[in-house]
Amino acid sequence: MDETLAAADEWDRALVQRYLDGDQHAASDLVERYQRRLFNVALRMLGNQQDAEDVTQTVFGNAFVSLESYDPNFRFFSWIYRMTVNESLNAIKRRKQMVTLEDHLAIPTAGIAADDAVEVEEHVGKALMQLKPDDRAVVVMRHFSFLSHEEIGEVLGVPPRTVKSRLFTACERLRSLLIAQDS
Amino acid sequence: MLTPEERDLMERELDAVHALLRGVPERSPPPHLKRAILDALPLRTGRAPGVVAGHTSWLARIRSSLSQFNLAARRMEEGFMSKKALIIGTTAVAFVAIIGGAIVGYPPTGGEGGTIGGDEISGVQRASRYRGRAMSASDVTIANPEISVLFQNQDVLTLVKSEVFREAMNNEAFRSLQSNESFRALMNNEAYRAMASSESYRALMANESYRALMSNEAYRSLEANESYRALMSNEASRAAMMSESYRALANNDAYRAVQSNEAFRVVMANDAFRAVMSNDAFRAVMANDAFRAAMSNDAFRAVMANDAFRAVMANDAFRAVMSNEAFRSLQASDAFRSLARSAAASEAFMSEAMRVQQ
Repeated sequence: MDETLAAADEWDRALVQRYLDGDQHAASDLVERYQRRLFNVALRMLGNQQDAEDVTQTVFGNAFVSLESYDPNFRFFSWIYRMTVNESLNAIKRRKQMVTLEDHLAIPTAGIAADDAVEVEEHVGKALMQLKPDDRAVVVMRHFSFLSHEEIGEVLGVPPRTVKSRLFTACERLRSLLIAQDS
Repeated sequence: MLTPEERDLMERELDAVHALLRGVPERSPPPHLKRAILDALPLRTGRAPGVVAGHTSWLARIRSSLSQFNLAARRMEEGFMSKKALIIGTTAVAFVAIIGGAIVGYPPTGGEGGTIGGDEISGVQRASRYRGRAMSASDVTIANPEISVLFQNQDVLTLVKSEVFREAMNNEAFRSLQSNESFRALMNNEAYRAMASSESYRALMANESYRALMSNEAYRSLEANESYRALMSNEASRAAMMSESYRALANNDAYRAVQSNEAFRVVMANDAFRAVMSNDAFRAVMANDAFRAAMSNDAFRAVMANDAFRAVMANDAFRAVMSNEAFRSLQASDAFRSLARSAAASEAFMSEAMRVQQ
């Protein structure tokens, strides 16, 4: 395993252990360490900030409750990412309909200095929301969380080659959607 | 079946899609989210033998449900509460927090209740083994000789009366930093303290591209990579990277190791990274031993990845205070450091600072 990832896993394990030992600072640090990443995964999956907040909070809530039974032989990172993806997929199912354009546009753009970035985000966001949720999950993890094929496979419980092929199909579909938007 | 030309075209178009995806910015979670998450946490007092997994789940789930309501309420609060009202409402907390953490570098920790909420952290009850006797207001007053001595110093008086100091104290990001353990660890780190006093570091922190880079997950991952740090500690490789003349790097083992790192490849394609690489302040900081020592420090990397820290670093007033001579003398003062270990003492100091400001 990449030494960076190994160090990150080690740090996660230490924080989990400290939390289990009663150190609430460790909980705060775990939240600090993951909330941005998980929030962004949920946001890109759901296209709606409030839903993303709810999913992030639910995931952390479930994770902390389940830490007693968490097996440290598994990576915390893939465990909590998997929970986030699953909770996002559940949220999509609960809506029983695809997210509307209005939902997507509800993502506030405050704080983004460059107009280009806002435009790109809207453009890509619209196309993303038209992908199948499973495909969207792969694109989000690869391109927004920079996970490797192996890591995505670990999160989704599928082999890396499945991830590669799903990613290729999803990107092709995304390309067609973006071209369609342009035209 | 695609022809080679069609395949080429498709690959180019897919590359364009990937480039477009890279242009989508990361979002910061809203400030109330962390509090909402922590409010819903189950109470913990350490793992006791024989505890059945999930024993507290029902309680936790009730807390979680209640917290969902609180989250909605906070969203509304954030929407309605004016910035001014927020500042007034949290002034006292901010004072303790600032003294406790950002300014002095010896933030209150442990049982002295030196963080927001005293014995509780973000609404979560601290495990009993971390409790100590909390100092009361009666323990620390302006009659405290340590505080009196500080306020007899003209430089300190000038500093606390200054507009930048007042403005820095009103910065919301300071407050959220206080619940971050990595930040507290960093502030106790000698390498960081040495680095933070350098002009080039402060210039770098004022640089927008650098701050953008710091919010990039791939770069943060890269910073944690030993090979990358080895590469950056080598003067020749640094010069080569920054001049974008990579031939000189071809025989460098660390560079080859870094090249195989996914995060590195992502970072190299990042505009902010390229902008930072050509930035004089960044070059100066990378040549600084203290900075490289700090980069190998977990707490430093965690703090650099912290939204609140980056927000604080983007604040002109905070940087102005950091570069103020009187502030640095204050930081170095043993009396001031010892005050900051206690929330009550910090509060007393800040109350006095407030009185002086009026």
